[in-house]
Amino acid sequence: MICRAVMPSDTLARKAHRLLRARGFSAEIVRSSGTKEGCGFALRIMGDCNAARDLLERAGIPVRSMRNERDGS
Amino acid sequence: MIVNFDNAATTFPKPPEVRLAVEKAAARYGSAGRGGHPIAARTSDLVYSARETAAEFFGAEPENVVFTLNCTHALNLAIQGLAEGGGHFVISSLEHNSVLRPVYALAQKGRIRFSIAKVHTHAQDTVESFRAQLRPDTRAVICTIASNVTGQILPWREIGTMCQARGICMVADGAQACGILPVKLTDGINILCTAGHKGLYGITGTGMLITDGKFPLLPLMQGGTGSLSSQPEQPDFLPDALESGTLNVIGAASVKAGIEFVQKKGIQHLFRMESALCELLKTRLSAVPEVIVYRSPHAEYVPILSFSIRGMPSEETAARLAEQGFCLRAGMHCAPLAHHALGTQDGAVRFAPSAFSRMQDVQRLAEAVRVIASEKSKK
Repeated sequence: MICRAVMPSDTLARKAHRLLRARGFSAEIVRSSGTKEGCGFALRIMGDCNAARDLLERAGIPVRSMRNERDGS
Repeated sequence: MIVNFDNAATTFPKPPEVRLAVEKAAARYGSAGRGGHPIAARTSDLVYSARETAAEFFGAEPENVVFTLNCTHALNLAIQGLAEGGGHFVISSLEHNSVLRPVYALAQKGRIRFSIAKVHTHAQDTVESFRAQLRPDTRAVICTIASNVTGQILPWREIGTMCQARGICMVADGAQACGILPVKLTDGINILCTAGHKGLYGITGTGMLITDGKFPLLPLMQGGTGSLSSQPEQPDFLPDALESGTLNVIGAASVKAGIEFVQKKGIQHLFRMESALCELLKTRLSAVPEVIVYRSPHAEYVPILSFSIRGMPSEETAARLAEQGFCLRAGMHCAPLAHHALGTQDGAVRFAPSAFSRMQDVQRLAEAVRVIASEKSKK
């Protein structure tokens, strides 16, 4: 399972990325497009969204949207 | 030999680490916060790392570090951003034009009202002076942490605490304090504005606005941020809300390297070392009857020392010193309020050392001033 988290900005994507990596998540920052807000940045997180969501919420890092994707999607 | 004692304007020379960071940034980095290609990605990572370094240094969150052109830009973002709500502002009697002019302009347009709190040599008197100016509609106190003319340190923590108790936004001008005093947002500061090119040893064209986020600011300008690109509205989250257009990546790299240089040297060490140079100059100049040194035994100072020679315009004194290779700033230092308070309407000569200043050069400077003063008295 891969979790895709669309972030408000590059800065917040990097803040979330640093936190996730420090807590043992494998994640990468990717470009996000095709959303109604326009281009931006997202995180591809290896694993289920629930654990990552909890961690980001506790750290006060806002996320625009989060959804689980299949591997390789 | 040229010796720079005008480090309150901008530190020169820059540390080797900063020069290397600038060279590397020019060779390796492009634009940050926009594309997803490798150059963009590594540049964005560098800029975020610079935010992290500044955030840790000042006790903030990385996204609340806004890179600006200089301290004036940061102060204008804060002052004009807060002025949208109108109300009453309080500034100190030692403020630089970077505070006085935007506040004055807003008041002239009828958008705000403002009062000036007199700074005294005794810290508690200064706190009371600020307290006396507060009104029910006071929205912000804008206060320098240290005067750029005399170096006098204001009781910023006490003023910050007073503001926090009343829900007033405390905006601190840290231009002469950051890198030499242990300034933190937890000192009661809501918005800290600073230059990157002074005590933080970054290159010119750098500054920062660092906020706790409790007082949202409307931007001075709107534009591309790399986020919410399809929407016509400026993003309302930091740092994007206040950082439109391509960022000064090389500058951010230099500020990061500069802060790391300060951390390696140690703020206390830098303060002690540079203060000792000021003390040496003060002692030497105080022994010259024709020289006036603008210091009080009751106040505390960052390493800045202003003086003048009786009967000699400050610009003439500085020009005579420049002929001998000493670079000192004369005149009003863009701070007419401070000079008015000091009674130096014709300006003064400002000595401001840095981490690279040497005692033997201060001794030579003191002797040069003594000779100039002696010659003047014989005329």
